[in-house]
Amino acid sequence: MITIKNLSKTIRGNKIIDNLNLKLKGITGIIGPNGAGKSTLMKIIASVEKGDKGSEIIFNNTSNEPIRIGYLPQNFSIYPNLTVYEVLKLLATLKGNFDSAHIEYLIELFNLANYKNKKMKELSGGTHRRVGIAQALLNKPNYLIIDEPTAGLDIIECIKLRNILLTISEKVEDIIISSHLPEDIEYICNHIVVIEKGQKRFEGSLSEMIQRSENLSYEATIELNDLQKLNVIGEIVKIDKISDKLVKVKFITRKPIADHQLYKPVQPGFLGSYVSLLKGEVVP
Amino acid sequence: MRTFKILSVQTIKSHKYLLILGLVSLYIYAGFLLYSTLFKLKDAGNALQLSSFLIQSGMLFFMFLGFRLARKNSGAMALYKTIKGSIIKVLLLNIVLLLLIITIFVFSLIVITTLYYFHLNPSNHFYFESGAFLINNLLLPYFITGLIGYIVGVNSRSTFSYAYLILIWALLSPTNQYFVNNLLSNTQLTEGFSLLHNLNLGVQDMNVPYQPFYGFQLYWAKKVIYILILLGICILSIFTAIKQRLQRINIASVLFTLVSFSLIPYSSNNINYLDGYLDEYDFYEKRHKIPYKDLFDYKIENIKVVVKNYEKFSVDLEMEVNNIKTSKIAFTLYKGFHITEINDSNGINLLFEQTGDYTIVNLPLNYKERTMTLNVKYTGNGTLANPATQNKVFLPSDFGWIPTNKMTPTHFVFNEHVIPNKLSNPEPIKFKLTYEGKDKLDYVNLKQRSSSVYEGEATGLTLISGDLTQRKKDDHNIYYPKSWFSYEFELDKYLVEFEKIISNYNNLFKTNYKLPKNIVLLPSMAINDSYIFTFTSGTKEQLIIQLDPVELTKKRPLNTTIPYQMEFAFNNNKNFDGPEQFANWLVFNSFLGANLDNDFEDKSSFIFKQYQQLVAEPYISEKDKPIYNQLLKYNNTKLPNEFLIKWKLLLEDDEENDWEQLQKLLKTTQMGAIQ
Repeated sequence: MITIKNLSKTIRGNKIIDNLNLKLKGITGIIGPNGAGKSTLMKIIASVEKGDKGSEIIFNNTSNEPIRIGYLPQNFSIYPNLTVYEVLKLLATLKGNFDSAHIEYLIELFNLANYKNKKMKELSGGTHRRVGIAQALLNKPNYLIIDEPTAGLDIIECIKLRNILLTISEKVEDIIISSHLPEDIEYICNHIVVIEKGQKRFEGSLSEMIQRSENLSYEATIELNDLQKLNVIGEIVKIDKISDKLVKVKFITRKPIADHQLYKPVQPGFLGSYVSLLKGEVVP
Repeated sequence: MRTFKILSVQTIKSHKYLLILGLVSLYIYAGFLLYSTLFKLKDAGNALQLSSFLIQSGMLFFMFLGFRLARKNSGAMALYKTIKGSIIKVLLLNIVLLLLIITIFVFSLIVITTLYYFHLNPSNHFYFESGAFLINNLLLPYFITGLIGYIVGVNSRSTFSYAYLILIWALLSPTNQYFVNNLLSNTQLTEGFSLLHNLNLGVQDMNVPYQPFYGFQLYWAKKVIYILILLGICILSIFTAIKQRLQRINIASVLFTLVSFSLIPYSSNNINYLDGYLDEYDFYEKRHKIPYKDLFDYKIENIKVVVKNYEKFSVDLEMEVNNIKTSKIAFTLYKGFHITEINDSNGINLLFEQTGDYTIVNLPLNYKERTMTLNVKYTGNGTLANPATQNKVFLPSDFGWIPTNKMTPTHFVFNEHVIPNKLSNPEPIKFKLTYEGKDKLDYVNLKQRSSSVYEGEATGLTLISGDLTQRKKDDHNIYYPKSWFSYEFELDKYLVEFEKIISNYNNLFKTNYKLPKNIVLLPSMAINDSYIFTFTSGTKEQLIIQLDPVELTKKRPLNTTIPYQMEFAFNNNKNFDGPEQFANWLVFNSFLGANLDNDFEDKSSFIFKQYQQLVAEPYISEKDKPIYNQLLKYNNTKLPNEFLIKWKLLLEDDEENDWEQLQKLLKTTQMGAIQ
């Protein structure tokens, strides 16, 4: 478990992270809109950057092994003329943990055998990202921090990558994933943190998150022309077209709607809960 | 090591096109220089001395290589930040790699040149000079610009960096003064040129050819300090690679270092006598009053000289004299040697007056008919042609660097050239020399008694310390510049021919000269080589010849000058009161040379004959011109030997009417009939 206490980060007078207190455990997903401070938070956890004075990051290591962090930055960019194997070899050496058998194992694990001798610049986005995660595991970390694992990937590659992350979750103590895609979090994570503008909106399990917005999710069949009116009372999270004029809409409101026959209460799901959290009050 | 290996591989892979293009271009240009100057002209000195554009282009290439090596890491920085110590490791290894690439490149040039030198002459000693030049003028400047490029690359993401680097390169390069001079040709900002001179990392003046006697002028301290400071900034940059504010300071500190270094001149032990030469020209152009003749009428018995040549060339001399006729004595000493003190043997300071080349000493007691010892202390730098500096010394026995009672100025001006007179003593005197200096002497015309003490009898004292080497050939010790190793064959041939011409001279004048044991071959030491054939001096023990195999062999065989060098070679008492007398000797020498020349018919040396006549003619009065014109009619033939012998005698007598005597001679030998 990683405990974060009073974490703030100010860059050129702007508060990017504002007094965060978190307890990250298992596979934690950090989600929030663009500019929420996710990447900054990830960098601070990965020790790439430091928080403001008074901030504390505590790795509650249950084993006797030293703390080893594996990190995949959002923009994983490395010498494009090196081959996959050379990159892994170089980074393993820099990490002081060169073990060719382990490199081979990671190549197998991430299905990179066919790309081993390919240059980084010749790889597809998904393969590039897989190499990124593989390099994060080079030092056999007990904490794995992955910033936007599926950024820029197509659906198939996203699914593959999520499966891989689930596979490796057993090998590390904690995984922290940040993403702006709810699917990533919903699929992989058992602990969720929602942040917006550097502040915590929610921290807890997926079910707790859904529970919080149970009375705020509705479904309705309306005319296409009435969509704009719906925006006044809530946030649309899903639209299914029924006919040329009619659509079935799932939306989230700020307050429960009482006594209205047009709108049918439904389970909010992760996306609904997420939107609901972003539009609701800040949870201390 | 593994990290370094992988990083090196990736760096070379990432920059393979830049490296191939840059290094191959540099190799081609270096090859072209070596081919045209070293291979074709065998001019080992200038093959390096005139390599400013190679230095300059290499500085630019390695500056951008340094910049690129630093920049390529910027993408991986975020990842490196998570790996403890990796940024420092990667950036440091990149510096090592950069310096290694530069070192390999420069050392490959050293190996290539050295191999070629050994191919030309296995016994050469020039490889050391050449290696030092390449390290000083290529390796160190490449290190400096490479590190500057690296610092800017680590600290800046701005495209402005390119302009910043180009500006720095222009300021540091060997052509900076010419570049800025052209840029500012119509402004009054020329005072700033000395700052540019101080910044220049390459050859100090790209247009000045190599001077084989001096060797290369190398400046180590400033460049090494520069590198150490830049390495310091590099290390600082590595540790502050994440902090933007400090990065700006790092970039600014490069500029600050540059400005600071522009204020520090390079050490001034190199030769910069041009201003002095112009002063000398003004001085010797006028005729100066010579002290009363009787003051020179004494005899020098022996001279003990202590020379200390460190920061200054200083002489502490004890001169034993007798037969003094008056209460004052005068001696001649080149005016550039400033006398600080004159004492007698009891240590009593004697009053003296040094005016130009002459010094009059007041003797407090009546030393008439007694032997007395004068202790004279003086310092100086010599002249352009006869330097006396801590690095290089060329003080031949006939140069006025030791007080002499010869009543002749040390120099005179002829045809806009300052020419040294020959001031050897007519009879040998005892010398004892103690020499201490930064560099050891290459040649002294006395026997060496210990590491710093020399003793013997000679008509003058010769000290030579230059970029010379020595070898034995038959019974002769031959001294010559190290850079002439490729001309050994020509030099040997030259000496064989010299010996033949000596024989011709001996047959003509019934003399008994021969090649002495010690032969010193030097390049032209004067401001130019117009009178190179007159700057030959010889005694029983030494022959010093100025010649330039590199330049001369471009046009004609080296030995074509020999017939015109002979008259000056063994006549160290030949001194001239003024240019007219020298002109008369040149006319004589032009005809004598033709007679001595074994290949007179092929006219290859004719140009030297004509040149002497050309420069002498303006000094011949209108009254004497008809006689001179009459002589010119014999230009294509050899004059009768008898005529030349008598002509020489009339030149050597004390009478001043040389041309009248010559006219009589022409008539008596019936040569006037040709008119």
